[in-house]
Amino acid sequence: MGLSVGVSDDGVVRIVVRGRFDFSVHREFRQAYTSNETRSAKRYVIDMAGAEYIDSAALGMLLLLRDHVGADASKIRLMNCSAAVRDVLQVSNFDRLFDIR
Amino acid sequence: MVPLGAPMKILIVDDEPTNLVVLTALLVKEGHAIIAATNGQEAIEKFKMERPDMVLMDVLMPDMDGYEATASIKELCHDDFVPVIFLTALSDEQSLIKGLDAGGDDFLAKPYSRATLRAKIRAMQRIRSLNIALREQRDELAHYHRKTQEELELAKHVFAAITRNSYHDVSCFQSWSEAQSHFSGDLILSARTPTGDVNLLIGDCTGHGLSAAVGAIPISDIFYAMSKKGFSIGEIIQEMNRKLADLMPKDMFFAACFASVSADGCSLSIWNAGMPDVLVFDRECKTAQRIGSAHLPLGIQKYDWRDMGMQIVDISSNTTVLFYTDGLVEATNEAGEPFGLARLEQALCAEPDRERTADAVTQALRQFTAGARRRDDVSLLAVGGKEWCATSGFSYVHGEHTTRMPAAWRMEATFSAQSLRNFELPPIVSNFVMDVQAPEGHADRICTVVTELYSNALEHGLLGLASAMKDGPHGFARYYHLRESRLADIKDGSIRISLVHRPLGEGGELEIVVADSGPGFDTRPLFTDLAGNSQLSGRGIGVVRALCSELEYLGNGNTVRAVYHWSNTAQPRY
Repeated sequence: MGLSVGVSDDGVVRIVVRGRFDFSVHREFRQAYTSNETRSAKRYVIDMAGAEYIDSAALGMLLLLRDHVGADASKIRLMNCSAAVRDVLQVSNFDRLFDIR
Repeated sequence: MVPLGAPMKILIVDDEPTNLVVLTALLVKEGHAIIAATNGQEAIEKFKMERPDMVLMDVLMPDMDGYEATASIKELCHDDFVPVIFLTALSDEQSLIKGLDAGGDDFLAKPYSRATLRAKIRAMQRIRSLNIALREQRDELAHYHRKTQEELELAKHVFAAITRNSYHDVSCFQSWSEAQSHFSGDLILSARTPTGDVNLLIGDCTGHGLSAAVGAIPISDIFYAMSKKGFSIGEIIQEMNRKLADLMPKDMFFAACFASVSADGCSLSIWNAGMPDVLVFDRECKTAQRIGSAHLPLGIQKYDWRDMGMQIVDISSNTTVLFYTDGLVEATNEAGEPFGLARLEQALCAEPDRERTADAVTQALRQFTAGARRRDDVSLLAVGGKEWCATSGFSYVHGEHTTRMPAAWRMEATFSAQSLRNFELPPIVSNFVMDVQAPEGHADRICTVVTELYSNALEHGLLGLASAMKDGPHGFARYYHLRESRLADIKDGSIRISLVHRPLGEGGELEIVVADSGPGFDTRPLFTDLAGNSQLSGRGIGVVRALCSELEYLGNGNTVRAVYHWSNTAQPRY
């Protein structure tokens, strides 16, 4: 449950979300991009393969991350989104803000 | 916090004086303060008086034994944990069980080993520390719970005040809301515009309770104020978006559907930003159209002009449009299955009486989710058609303007067609009149006159649109899109508007002239048939005729002049 964070050699921070992507991971998620090692990453990749549920709190967390990188859509990639997660992102038209794969 | 090994106040109860002496000596050496009692009754009295941190209790004593005394002492403790260690030579299981049942926490067998006694005291101290910490946390929690309750009450109060201001005097829509817990954070607002349209808003602000209420305040303020002043939905959306982006933290946003029912009840404009598919259900053909979310929710980023188009739906026949928050389709039954869009459409189709739409859907939802836990707030808004809308006349409403002495003034302005792309002129002109002269109670009528004359000048004069285009199914939608595209493309042309106000007794006379640079038209047919005349936009020029004391077309029909009389004392003529 929760998140796991890894930094690659080429400055890409990979955040893996497992289980429910909701308010319960709020603090962890914020720490994932504000720590000394992860603060100035070249790119943030969020692996949603294990995310079975995403709600508006999660959308809010993504917006905070987006604010952190200065609203540059190319710096954030949402990977392996399930159909259910894609639906939520689609309704909110978040594909206009993030690179969703 | 009681640190381990810290000195304690210990009550020793034993009917044998020698035992008391031995134990007292042992414990005083450890640094503890000792209180002694020689029988059960004395133990209880001394306990009440001294409130020791721990009790060493002999079992076999005359009159009241250790078990009885312990039971009484434990009762005096309430939720405070004061350990009681039995001093006993008895080692049989029955005695041990009796001791534990009486409230005893441990045993110390005679003869007393000093090391064992010390270890047991430390163990009891650990448990006591835990108990104290737990009680402190519980008290803190109770305090925060109370604070949270107060904040919820405040949020509830704010929401009630906000929805109280909604326009309820209309029968063309039904709304229904059910909270997941204390009150719903979903927002359903309605407001009547000066020209008789009804603006509707259904939305879901991120967060619950107070955080949702914080967003709801600017949202409702802007919605009501701008609707009342006749601003278009597009302008309201832009202003609200700006305000929310400015005010709210980056992770908060407002998913919403805006809609506007035209004054004649024939068409509904829809704008969906982040809400589930709006269902347009035509009862005649039994078809359901879905209008999905096409925009980012409000409060995230600026909308560009491409985002501002509305979807227009014809609701003049037996059509119902259903808006709802995601709590509705995501509500689950006991098996965890969501209610879903399919079941929602089914419930809509199954109900022939459109006035029962909200009831039918909520009943279907209740049946489906019976027994299951509510996961989110649920809200829905059902909008009907022509027959539903009560044709309300103009209201004589006292505005917020202070009465001014009728005075002479005039204003004239000319706008190039290209500038007219950027804003809606009628609310600006009407609000100008209200700000300058404030003819109390006449705002709606003046706004209607200005809007009618301007729309005709723009749409017929400059854009070359004919009212006949609005006829037929989807006529409004076609007309609207054509209007938008022609306005976006227009290169030349202009509209001049002039206002001349003359004081007249207790009121005044406002002459409005609107001239467009278009080719004009043959105005004769206009005046021969005014009954039910929807030749021109909105309520038709017939309404302007009824509201104004004079109405004439000048030049080759591209200039219109209307005179509106108002008075502080006399009732308006329409």
